[in-house]
Amino acid sequence: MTGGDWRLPPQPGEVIDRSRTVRFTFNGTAYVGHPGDTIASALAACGVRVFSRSFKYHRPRGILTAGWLDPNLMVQVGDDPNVRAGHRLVADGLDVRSQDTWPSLAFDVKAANQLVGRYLSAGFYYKTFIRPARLWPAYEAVLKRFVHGGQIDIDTPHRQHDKTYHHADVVVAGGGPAGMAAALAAAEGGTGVVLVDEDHDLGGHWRWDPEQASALLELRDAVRAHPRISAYTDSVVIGRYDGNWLGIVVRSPDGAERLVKSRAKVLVVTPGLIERPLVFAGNDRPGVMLGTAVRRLVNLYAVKPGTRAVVQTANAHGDAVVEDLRRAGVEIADVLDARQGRLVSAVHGRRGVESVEVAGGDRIEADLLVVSTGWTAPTSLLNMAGNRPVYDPEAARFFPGPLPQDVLVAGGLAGDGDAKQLTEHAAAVGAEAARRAASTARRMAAVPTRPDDAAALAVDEVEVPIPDLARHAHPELYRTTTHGFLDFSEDVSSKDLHQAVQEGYDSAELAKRYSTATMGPLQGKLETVNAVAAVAEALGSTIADTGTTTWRPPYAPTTLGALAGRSLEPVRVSPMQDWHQAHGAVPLVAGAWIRPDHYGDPVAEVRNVRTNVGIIDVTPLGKLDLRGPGVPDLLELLYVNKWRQLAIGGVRYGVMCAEDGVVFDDGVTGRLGPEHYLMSTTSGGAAAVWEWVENWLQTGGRGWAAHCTPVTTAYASINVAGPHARELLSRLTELDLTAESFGYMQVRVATVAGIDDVVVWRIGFTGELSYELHVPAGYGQHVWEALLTAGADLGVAPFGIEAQRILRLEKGHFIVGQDTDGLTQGFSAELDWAIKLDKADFAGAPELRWQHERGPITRLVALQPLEESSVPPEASQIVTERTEIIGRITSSRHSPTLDRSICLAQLLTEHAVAGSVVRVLTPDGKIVEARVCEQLAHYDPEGGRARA
Amino acid sequence: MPELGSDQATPARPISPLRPAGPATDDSAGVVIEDLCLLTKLTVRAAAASAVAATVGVRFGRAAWHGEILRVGAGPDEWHLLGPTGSSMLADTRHALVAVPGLVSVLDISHGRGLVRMRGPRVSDLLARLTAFDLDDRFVPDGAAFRTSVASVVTDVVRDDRDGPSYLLHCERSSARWLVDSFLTAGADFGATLVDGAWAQPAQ
Repeated sequence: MTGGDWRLPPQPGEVIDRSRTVRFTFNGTAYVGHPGDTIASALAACGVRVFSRSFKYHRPRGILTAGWLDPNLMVQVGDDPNVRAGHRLVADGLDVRSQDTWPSLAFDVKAANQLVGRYLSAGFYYKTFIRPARLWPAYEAVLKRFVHGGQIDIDTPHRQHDKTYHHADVVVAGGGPAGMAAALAAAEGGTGVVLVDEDHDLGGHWRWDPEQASALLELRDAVRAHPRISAYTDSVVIGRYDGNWLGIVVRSPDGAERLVKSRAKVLVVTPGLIERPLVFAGNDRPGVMLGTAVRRLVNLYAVKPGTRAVVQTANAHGDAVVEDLRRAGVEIADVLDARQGRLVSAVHGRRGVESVEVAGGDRIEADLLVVSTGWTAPTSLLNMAGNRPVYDPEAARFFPGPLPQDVLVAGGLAGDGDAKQLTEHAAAVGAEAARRAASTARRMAAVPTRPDDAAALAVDEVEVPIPDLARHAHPELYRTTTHGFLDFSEDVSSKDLHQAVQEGYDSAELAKRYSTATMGPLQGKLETVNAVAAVAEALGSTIADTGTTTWRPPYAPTTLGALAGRSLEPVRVSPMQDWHQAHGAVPLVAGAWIRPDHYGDPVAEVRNVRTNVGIIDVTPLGKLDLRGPGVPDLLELLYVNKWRQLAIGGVRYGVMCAEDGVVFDDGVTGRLGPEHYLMSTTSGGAAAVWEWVENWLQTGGRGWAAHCTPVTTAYASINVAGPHARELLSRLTELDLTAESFGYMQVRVATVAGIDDVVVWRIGFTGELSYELHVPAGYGQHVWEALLTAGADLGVAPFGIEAQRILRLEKGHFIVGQDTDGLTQGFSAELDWAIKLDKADFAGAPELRWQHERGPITRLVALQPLEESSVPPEASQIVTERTEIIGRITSSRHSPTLDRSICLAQLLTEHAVAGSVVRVLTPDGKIVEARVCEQLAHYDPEGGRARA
Repeated sequence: MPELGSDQATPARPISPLRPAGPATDDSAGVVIEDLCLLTKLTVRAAAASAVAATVGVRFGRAAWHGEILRVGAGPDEWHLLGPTGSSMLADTRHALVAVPGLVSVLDISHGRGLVRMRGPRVSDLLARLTAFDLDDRFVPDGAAFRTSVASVVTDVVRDDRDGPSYLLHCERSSARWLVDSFLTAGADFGATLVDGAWAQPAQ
């Protein structure tokens, strides 16, 4: 067990709980830490200095920032890759491992890449593997072994990542002192505030600044106590989209993420500043740390970062680092102040810092080099709001340009000042944000959901004055006298950027893509400005003239699970679904519907319908209730056939075509009353037909008095089919079912099994005598069971979709979307008998007239393979002797009734000649010869059974 | 020939598309979902400017109680009337609107719609997991009615407060089970439960 030899005595602002310990392993070795420790701080307290190997050269890497953005602290935790050890808190039992190190972190074979480093510079992949192209698979196999990103276990149990919506008046992105001050002022202004911070607690850099300890407590307590502030810690605003549509990723201690979406009325951006690394030779050696890393380690986690330190400083932050180190008992070997012209030129040491070389030649023995030489302004969210940041060479960082009204900025991103100036500025920004949010809310309140007498929302029309912040002068310091790494994630050096420019990639955007600088997991937060500076230097230009790259969402890496959220794919079921499930129905997913495919033996189900009687649940059939005097005109336009003469009690089959003449849907419509009709559609077309009807009613400009109401699921629909259908139904209703009184294509409304208002259609899709019952849905199961009970002696049995498909194919009824496609116009579906071109107008008429004049290109035909047992799969091509495609099989099954193979097919018109034989090419390459039939119906072509 | 059909009641009891656990026994749950699927529900279609709007007495976007019937302005020319099971709402409404000129449609959609009431201290939090709609009191006060996507299902929502925020949600029947199951799953940490519901107008 390795303990915490580098742990300091208690520090005033530490966040660890020393009363408890947690035990975990790193590369198999056991370690202990305290609750509140990050993985990195706990390991550092135990003396670990090397945490990972770099991406390309497998150089040993140690702590750089000690936070979320640390590129050197990516580890595997259990089966979770790419975990930020500078952020993830330790917990008992964590299995932490270094990524892509073999055979060990201490001795990594791939470190041999450094020996050929001169050949692995920018563009190495493009230049080396571009030819010969045939060798790419071999290259790829080798390159895959160098993928640097941990391991994923595909057997890991799937986690649910709940998404949620939190529409705040004001969202403050960044919970440092400025963010808290802005949030508090906004909340005091009467608005609801969401405050988001990436760290485990609010406070930003004040958390590790002992001088601000009391101010932090006061401000943080006020924020926590405010009822209108919702604080999300360990969270980050990952994107800002039009209208302040924000994505917020909320993390949990175990790394699971959840997405919160917010339509913020005002966004206040207060991310603070990110300390920027300095480029020099050996700047990636373990022991080279940024000042913020040292301050975090000492003040938050009570970890001594080294024993003898050199501090390279260029600002007051570096001076504060020196004080922290002294307090931690670290010997200060030297302070190199860039403001006085003293710079580090190189770091030496094999596995970590052993000495620091100062420009001019001095070498200082040390195991720690701390760098505090500049800041990067994380302007990402501002970029996403359309802002182009402007570089200020005096202050050596970018500042925001003009912002839209719904975005404000505070804190270090806005300017410089002491704690009082910055928080006062932020408070003014928060108050103005509240005022603007209230103004937006007042506009949004003009909605019909508010009562007529609701008072208008109050808004202060006077803008809140926001004081200006100064810009403090800061040395422009990006690289010293030597070259070094500027992208630690991708192992890209300043030299690589110079080379990229020399090769012609002479803009920041081009050089970035060529070298992959800023394209690693940090997405430029540490690297962008150094990369731009390197490009500018190579071009002999300035940073201001070179400009920066574009920051796009997401701001931080986000798990796919968080983006996906909960799976919301609605499932629809009929009122008889529980019965189907209880009686062994094999489910079929048909769009959103779950339907019984069969109950065990679809062939037996077909035979039972042909010989006895069967019932099928057809609830998904679309049903539209049409009312009003304008309905006949509407039907006349929607369908290709005629409707004005349909009598009350009559039913007619109709086909709808789109305006291009392509078959769109089919079904029957019955007339229930003088101005009352019930239309049925295909199951899959229900929503589209409703939309089509409403489209004509609302925008057709014809002024029809008609109402269309979808009633698909108001009815449980049951088709009773078979020679005994009449006998069965007669046992449950007093309705006169004789053929004379209730003939084919008629509709009645009756009481069935004691249930009133059952719509009974005498129609049939199966080719048998059949009645379609549309039962008020709540009584669907009652009628279903009543049919099964009443018909037990008649052999009644349920049948499913598969049996229905066989039955309708035997009868030659086509299915829209299966036997037709997106190009099948009406005459190609054998609808000559239905299309009435003498009508004045109907949807698709001009195209159908044209098709009629020139003749259809293809026709729907019935085929019967000569070899009766051979069933060519659906979608098989029909070909000539020379394998020219002349058609395709659209439906095929073995017919239990005829004991032979039967098909429907789309065939070029010149080949659609009854009696001719065509060749069907099956997917396995066989040829099946089939005869073109006289008519579509393979069974009972005269229709006597259905009309019985 | 007269209109086919009748408005007679039937003796058999209809079945709800939901599967409630039974009557509410514990009101401490963060979210209670009451099954009200068997309520009588009507839809009225007419031009908003017509006399129907005045007769129904509520405009698009708002809902109001008239006795034991909740009248909802569900759409620009569409109203929903929700009332107790077995009431004579259909006949009464048709009678009330018979003299109104112009096309008026009154349909009984009781069987075609699933309906639940959601209440409890975490109800707004649970709704926020499944709908993007901003439920802020300023925009969706008590009595607000709107149609939106909830758990990817087109849903009519009425805010009808009872000792705190409470919402009536209804959707077409075949999706009702999915909708409620989505709430039960997403609200498991709130202790969301589905119970038998009872229809009652708010206390005056």
